[in-house]
Order: sequence, then structure tokens, then C-alpha cells
Amino acid sequence: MIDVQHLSRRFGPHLAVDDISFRLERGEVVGFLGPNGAGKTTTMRMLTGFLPPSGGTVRVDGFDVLKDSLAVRARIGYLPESVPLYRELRVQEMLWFQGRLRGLSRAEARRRTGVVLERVGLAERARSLIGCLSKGQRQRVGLAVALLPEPEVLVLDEPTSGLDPLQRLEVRALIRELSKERTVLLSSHILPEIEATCPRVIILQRGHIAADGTQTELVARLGGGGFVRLELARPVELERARTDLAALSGVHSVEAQLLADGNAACEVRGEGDLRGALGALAHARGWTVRELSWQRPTLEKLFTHIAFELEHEHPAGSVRAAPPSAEGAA
Amino acid sequence: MSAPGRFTRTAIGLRAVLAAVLAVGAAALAVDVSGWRYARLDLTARQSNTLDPATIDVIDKLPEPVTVDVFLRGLKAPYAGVCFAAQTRLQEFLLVVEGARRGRIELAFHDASDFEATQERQRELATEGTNKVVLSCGARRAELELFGELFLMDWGNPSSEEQVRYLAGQGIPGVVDPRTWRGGTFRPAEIAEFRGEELFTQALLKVSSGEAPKAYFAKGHGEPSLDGIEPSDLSRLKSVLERDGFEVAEWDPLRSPSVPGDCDVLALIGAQQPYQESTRTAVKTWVEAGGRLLGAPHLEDVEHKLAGSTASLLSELGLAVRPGVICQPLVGLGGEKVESDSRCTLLWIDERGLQPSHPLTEPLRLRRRRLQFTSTPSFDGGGYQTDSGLVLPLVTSPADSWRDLAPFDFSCNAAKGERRERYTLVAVKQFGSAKAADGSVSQGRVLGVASAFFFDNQSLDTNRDFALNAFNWLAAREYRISVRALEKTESYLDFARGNAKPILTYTLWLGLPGLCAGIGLLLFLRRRN
Amino acid sequence: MKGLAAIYRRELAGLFLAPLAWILLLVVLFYQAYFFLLVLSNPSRGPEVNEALSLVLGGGYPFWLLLLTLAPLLTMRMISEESRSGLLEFLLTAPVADGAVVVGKAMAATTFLALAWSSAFLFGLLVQFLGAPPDWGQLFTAWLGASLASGLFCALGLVSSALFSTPLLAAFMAILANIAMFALPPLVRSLHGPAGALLAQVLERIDVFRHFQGSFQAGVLDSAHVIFFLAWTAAALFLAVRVVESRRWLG
Repeated sequence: MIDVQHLSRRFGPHLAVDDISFRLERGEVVGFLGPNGAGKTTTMRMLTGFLPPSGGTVRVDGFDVLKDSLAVRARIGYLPESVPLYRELRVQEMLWFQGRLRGLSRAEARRRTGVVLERVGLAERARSLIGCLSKGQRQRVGLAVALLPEPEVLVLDEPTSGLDPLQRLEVRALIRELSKERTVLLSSHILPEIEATCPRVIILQRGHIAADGTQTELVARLGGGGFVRLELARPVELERARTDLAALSGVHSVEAQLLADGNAACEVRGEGDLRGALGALAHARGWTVRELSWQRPTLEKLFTHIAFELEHEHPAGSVRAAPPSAEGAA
Repeated sequence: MSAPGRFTRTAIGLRAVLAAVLAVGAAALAVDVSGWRYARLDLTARQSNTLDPATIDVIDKLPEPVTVDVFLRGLKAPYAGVCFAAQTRLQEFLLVVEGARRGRIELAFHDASDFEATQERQRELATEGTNKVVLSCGARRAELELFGELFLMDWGNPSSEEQVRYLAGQGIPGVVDPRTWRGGTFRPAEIAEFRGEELFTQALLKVSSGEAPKAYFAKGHGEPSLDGIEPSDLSRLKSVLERDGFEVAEWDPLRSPSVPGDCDVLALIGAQQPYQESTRTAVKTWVEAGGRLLGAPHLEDVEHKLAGSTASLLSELGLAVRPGVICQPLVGLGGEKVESDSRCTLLWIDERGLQPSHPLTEPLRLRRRRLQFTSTPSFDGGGYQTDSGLVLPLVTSPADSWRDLAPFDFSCNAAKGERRERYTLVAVKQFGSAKAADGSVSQGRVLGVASAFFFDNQSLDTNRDFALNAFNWLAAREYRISVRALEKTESYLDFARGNAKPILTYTLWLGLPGLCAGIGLLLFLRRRN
Repeated sequence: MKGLAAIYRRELAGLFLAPLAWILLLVVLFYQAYFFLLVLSNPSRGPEVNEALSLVLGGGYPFWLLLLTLAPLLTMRMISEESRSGLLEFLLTAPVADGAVVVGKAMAATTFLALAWSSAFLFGLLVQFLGAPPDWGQLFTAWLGASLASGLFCALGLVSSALFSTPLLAAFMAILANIAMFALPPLVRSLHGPAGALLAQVLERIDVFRHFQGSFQAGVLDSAHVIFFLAWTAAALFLAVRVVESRRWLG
């Protein structure tokens, strides 16, 4: 559905997006993840045709974003980060305007207005002035505006920013529901957001794709998944414990350190869940176990990992990172 | 990395600049092209912007574009307003002319503010003074005065001697004469008539046509002087003719008995002594060979039946002059008709006395020009065929006028055989075609005006148009075409009657703004959440 | 062109929903009423209706002063502020050509001004009611000319609004540009010397007042003068579109 090839964009001397390539299949839901200034918004603006790329191509449903700009724009529902709305209009008027812009008939625009307002939970505010709505409500109106033309592709730039936790849950649910019918590309710098909604994640860092894949793939890349956390009450002989743990079969690595309160914390990585073996060992050694838990790997970990990695390995950001799965998708 | 970035920026900037240049160029081109072929649609109620077809025709036939230099200067109060109004009207008219056929007429307005440039242009045109319009085409020029020509003015009555002197010092013809000013209450100046269309068309014809026609005035037999400024002299006729493009010269038959070869119009006006036999023969032969003669006998000459005078010459040519002064009843204050008064000899001829369908009188008749005759004899009725050509009366006196015979008592005395009827005051006779020496065919014309006083300085104000028409017609410059005046629709509110003024003021100051504010407020109240 | 209609309607609604438009409308009404009554109470001329109506529709400098400042005030926010608030991003990612966005905005501003000028028709009705019928044909052409000129100055205002990022700066620059466009040709005409004459000849092509005066003011529809206004309006709009596009490239 979306095919991005060697896309780059510079603002004067500053390279905002540097030669990125990825593909979105129909019905896929992809999260754009990255710190502020990583190039998420710029990439999305290029996808929607607002910014022309400095290099590379973007195709949406086979249409080039530069050559068939109008065809591309007709297929994309876009919610910019700033949630642009005419404050002096009523909610329904804003939606009707969007309907007219998209060439919908009057009746069709009105019908869809009812539907999308119902969907974003603003049906009873249809006649309110947009200027009088709260930030969260405006965000949802923006979403409604993007949804109104029933586009094949939804591009949502930070759709949940400024929402309270409850509204955020609602929006997430909405996006999950939408993802059943259409291609969704959403960006966020909030990890749980992406984790909750997007099976596939593209991590941007300094204009590069730092990672691209399903959450499991990415997490696996991070080093084989989870680890067991074992916390032992003092007094602990740290070195002894470490060697004992490392000696267990199936254990690959052990990180052990003394905590400030004198207790010891160990992270044990190995093949699968080693809690049973560790428990038995603790019992055998007579350790007082404060905690024995299986730690699932998280995107956050991956993200901080990648950010850290890039920061240190390629400080200038001029050398392209080579995420293996990104190449595979292209 | 920064170098290509800057390069792209420059490229985009250059592209934008190029687009700008292209857009401006395309628009300028469109503006130019639109001037080549265009259509004008006059939507005003009285077609105020549509020139008469005759004028359009003249403009279309111009051999080359005519430059119109306009020299304007304002007058001081209390004449500033009327002067400005006249200048504005003129400007509007000239814009209409320019717009009607672009490229044929080039307008140049010379503001008094740029004194040097104005003077330079005036030197080029060999003209001086302001508030005039100069048409030029190659070396040919025609001048039109703003006041007195383009605009016939009623200068009202000034309130102080200072104003009188100011007006007289402006070199405007027909202003209040300081010597005759008697004070009285102030009356503002007014525009009586705008004659721009017709005069402009004539001027166009003049500058686009060939050489100046030559008018010879006979002298040496007691004719009034061409240069004298006495009321009975002809200096104004001379200057009017010269301004109209005529070359005015004098012919002394005593020195050169034959009519000058380059004479286009011969004027015998007001001779008080008889011409010699040889002179009369020369004139008659000349007219029969296609010459153009204007004869206006002196009253004395007619009354005393002077042998060999202008009157007898005219009679010999078929225009018989009858003695007796044409009189007309005076109209008293109460509308009653008064006779037996010497002022009965002053005749006012309105359009009813002008012959329709003759190129000389028809334009005047249409514009309701009045003519003034003082102590005038008359011609034989006219409308008859003589053996050498057709005699046509052009101007006739009113129906209640009579021919007062000597001794004059200024009343219609049937006992003396005086009858009330129309008497012919101006008659014309056309001769058959004659072949001139250079092979061109010409028709002799004789125009008889019964009184020489008709052309003198005193009467010329009123009779100027007729005099010009007469000379032009005689010189066969028959472009004295009738041109419709462009009238601006004027619609005046009557503030004096009823309460028009308060209604207007309150509606404009309170009603409409109130309506607007009301709609606005209503909208805001409705748009509140 | 469906998008054009939508944008035109939205901009027009936006104008009339903002208090600025109503304040400007009030100002226009008072201003026009003042000059209308001023001409009618001229003692030397008498209350002549057509001249008074002509003055409030382009026949005199008061009108042009009003137009030259009003058009930029209407258009100043249309691109510069929308670009800041992100609304331009919304419009330019809708399936509508950039040209339609700019033209729609210009048309809306022009319509507003044309509506403001049509107060002269109300004046005309009023004096007709009071017994002095105006020359409706002349009134109509003057109104049409005033509206065409408004279109031109609105388009120039949009160029300025696209060039400058703050509305006030945009309005200020547009007013300067308008005054320059309006006043330069007559100023240059008064120069003397061959260079001045040449320049005057060149600048005659942008002489708004002369093109207005020669036909619209007098009650004539002249194709060349209509084209004059349309051509320059089109050029300004084209320029505005290019500037908006350049802004995309420059980010």
C-alpha cells in the first residue's frame, strides 16, 4: 500500500530524513517510534504530499506522491500533529467542509459525519464550536476529520498526545478497531502507545530507520528475549553466587550487583524460563530469596538500547545503521 | 553537506523569481494585446460615453495619430469650483475619445505643477497660455480654449472689483468687462454649455486635413477695420477665423483689380462707398467661375440705393436687397408687445428662423443657437430659381416682424405698405459647376447677409458660430457636421422640499450601519455555544 | 473545481464569522456615507447623485485609500496564520490543487469587498426613493470595476500573506505594495526627461486608476480594461501559488 524508497529530506543544511525505505502492506498497522526530532513528522508529511521529498520516492497504492499528488491525497486520511481545525466552526461544519473538500455529496457527508462522530464518541458535541472544546475533544474531532473520507490509509501523527489516560485508552481501542479495515501508520514517542496498538514498529533515530519489524522480532533482536530476575537478601557473597548461577546448565550470562541496601540483584539470561532451576539452586544454597521473576522483554528496552547504541557508535549519525529486518521488508 | 542544501535553496528561489518574471510578463503582454482588439459597451442611461458616429468616422479616417496636449490651470475662488468642474468634464470627455479608438488619439495632460516641462511643450507647439487644448498632427495644429470655446460660460456677477480684475486678467474671452461692471450682488459662475464633442471633431478634421483656406476681406471702400477693437470693427471675426485655421488677408481692389488667385472666400463686408465697375465685373466673373463670395451690405448703402455698392452687386448676382429696416415687437415686462421703440430694430432669431436641411444652418438649429441682427435690411423672399442658380433663404425673421420703411417710426404701419411676415435676412445662391484653371470642378457660391453689423465685434459673441459656419461652408470645408453632445446624466436631490435630507442623513449614518451591526450581533449570539 | 467551491465557501464563512469582518463592514459603511454626504452637500455643485455615487465607487482617492488598506487586512491572515496553525497543512494535504486553495481564498476576500461596495446600491435605492434616480448602468460598471480592482488587491495581499509569516507584517507589506502599485504610475508620469517618459510608458501597464477611470467610472464596460484587471489578478494569484509551493520545498 505504501512503498517508500530511499526517501530523504533536507531542510537547508540539516538532513531531517536520510535515505529511508520501508513498505506497508494493505491492512497493516505500523507504529513510527522515535524521540522528538527523529524525522517522524517529516516522513509523514512527505507521505501525505505536504512536503516534497529531496530524494527518493513515495508510492501510495501505486501512485507517486509527487506525480499523482491528488490521487495520493485522496487515499490518505491525515491527522497532523497540530490537529488543525477551524476554531470558529462547529464540529459538524468542520466535518461537512472535509466532506466537500473530498467531493462527497451533501447527504453522504452528513451520514458519515454522524458515523464518525459516534465512533470518536463526540456525537453529542456535533453542534459545539470547536474553539470551546477541550484539547482531548479536539484531538478526537481531528481524528474524525481524518476518518470522514473513509480513506484506505490513515496517517496519524501523535494521535494521543494531550489526552488523559482514559481517553488514550479509548483512542487506542478505536485505532485497533480501524486497523481491521485499513492501513494505519501512526507515530508516537510514547512506547506503551505503540506497544498496545501496533504489531509492527519502525524505530526512527536521527533520520534513519534504526529498527523495523514486529515487536517479537525486534525484542528477539535485543538478545533472545527475557531474563530471570533474582534478588537475594543480605548477607550475600556476590562472587560466589555469580559463579554458582553461571554454572547452572542453560545459563548464558549472569549480571549480578550489590544493591544499596546490601541485597544482591542478579539478571540471569539463558534458554527459556529458568526460574525453576534457579529456585532449586537458591534452596540448595540456602539463599533468602526476595524476588524470583521472569522479566518479559519490552520495546522500551529495545528503544533505549538502540538510542544508546546510535548515540555512541555513530555520533554524527552520518553512517547508516543497518537494521537487518528493514532490508528484508524492502 | 551544507553546500547542496544551499544550492537547492538557490535553485528554488531562482525558480520562484523566474515564475514571478514570467507571470508579470504574461500579464503585461495580455494588457498590451487586449488594447489591440477590444469591445466597449456603454451602460449609461443616456449613452454618455458613446461618441457620435460622425466623430468616430473622423477619428477612423485620421491619416496618423493625433496628439492632444491639454494645458490646465485652476482658477482662484470663487471660480475654483466651476473651473474644476469644467476641467473634470473635459478630462472625462477626452478619456471617452481616447477609449473609443485607442492609438488614434494620444492624450498628454500638462499639469501646472511642472512648470518647466509645460513651458517646453508649449514652445514646441508654438502656443502660450493655459486652460486650452492643442491638437497636433505633424506640423498642423488646432487650438481650443477651455472657456469660451469648449465651455460656454456664464461668468455671473463678481462680488468685488478684485474678482473682476482677476477674471479679466486670466485672458478668458467673454468674462465680465471691468469697464462695464456695476457691482451688485454676487452670482456664481456657471457652465452654460459644453461643446467639446463638436469642436473637438472639427479640430480633428482641421489638423488632419491639408492647408489653411484663405479669406480675403476687401478694403478701401469704408469697410470696418479688421484690426480695430471698436464695437463696429471686425477684429474678433478675424481672430475667430484665424483660430479656426483660416488665413485672413486684405484685398485692395484699387491696387489689384482682379480677385487674388489663392482666394478661397472673398468677404465684402460693410463697404460704405461704391466699388468700381471693374471691381464688380471682376468679382462677378470670379464667382461665376466657381468663386465663393460673402456679401454684407452696410445699412446706409441699402437705404440710399448706392449705385455700384455691395447691395447692388448682390442684386446683380441674384440676391436682391430691399431697403427698410426689419423690426420686431419688443416684449415688455408684463409680456405685452411693445412697438414704436427704436429697440424694435434689434432682432433675435431663434431656431425657428433657421433653415433646416442646409449644412450651414442645420447644426445651429439643432443646437438652438440664436442669432442677433441690428438694423438690418432684407432680401427678396428667395426659394426661387434665377437664370444662373437657386436662391435659398437661410435665415428668416420672426413671423410678427415687419419691414419698417423710411421715415422710420418702428411700428407696423399698413398705410405705408408695411406687412407682418417672415423676411429673409440671409440668403444663399449656388451657381452651376464651373471648371477652374487647375481642372478641379467648383461651384460658385454667394452668401448674402443683409446687414454688415451682423459680423461686427459687438454681435460676434452671439453670431460667432454662424460666422464660422458661413466661412467654412463657403470655403467648401463641409465638415461642419452635426455632432451629438455627450450628456452626463445628472440627477439632483431636492433637499429643499420635504424631509429628504434628514431621511438620507439618518439612514446613512444610523440605518445602514445599524442594520450591519444588528446582523453581526445576531450572528454572534447564534454562534455562541 | 469542487474543492475550489468548498474552500471558497469555507473562507467566506470564516470571514463573516470573525468579528474583524463586521468591524470592517461598519467602517466601510461610515466611510462611504461620510463621503457620499460630503459630495451631496457641496454648495457649488448641488446634490448631484451620480457624482456622489461615483466618488464612493472609485471616482476619488478616498475610495482607493480604503481599498488599498482593506484588502490586505482581509487577506493578511489567510495564508500566514493558517501556515502557523497547521490549517494550511490540512488544506494542502486534502485532494485539492494548491491553485484552488489560493484562488478560493482570493475569491472569498473579493466577494467580501464586492459585498461591501454594493452598499452603493443601497445608497442608490435610497436616493431613488427620495426622488433622484441614479444612472444604474454607470453605478453597475463602477461597482464591477471596484470589485475587479478589489480582486487584484486581494490577490496581491495573498502574495504578501504567503511571503511573510506574521499577519501584521504581511498586511503592512501588502499595503506598501498596493500604494506603490497605485501611486507609482501617476508619480512617474509627472517626471520629465526621456527616462521618465519611458518609465511612464512601461508603468502605464499597471496604472490601476487610469484603467478604472477610462471605462468603469464613466459607465462603460471595456474588454481591454476588464482584461487588465483579470490579467494582473491572475498573475498575482499565480505568484501566490508559486510562493506557497516554494514554502513546501523550503519546509
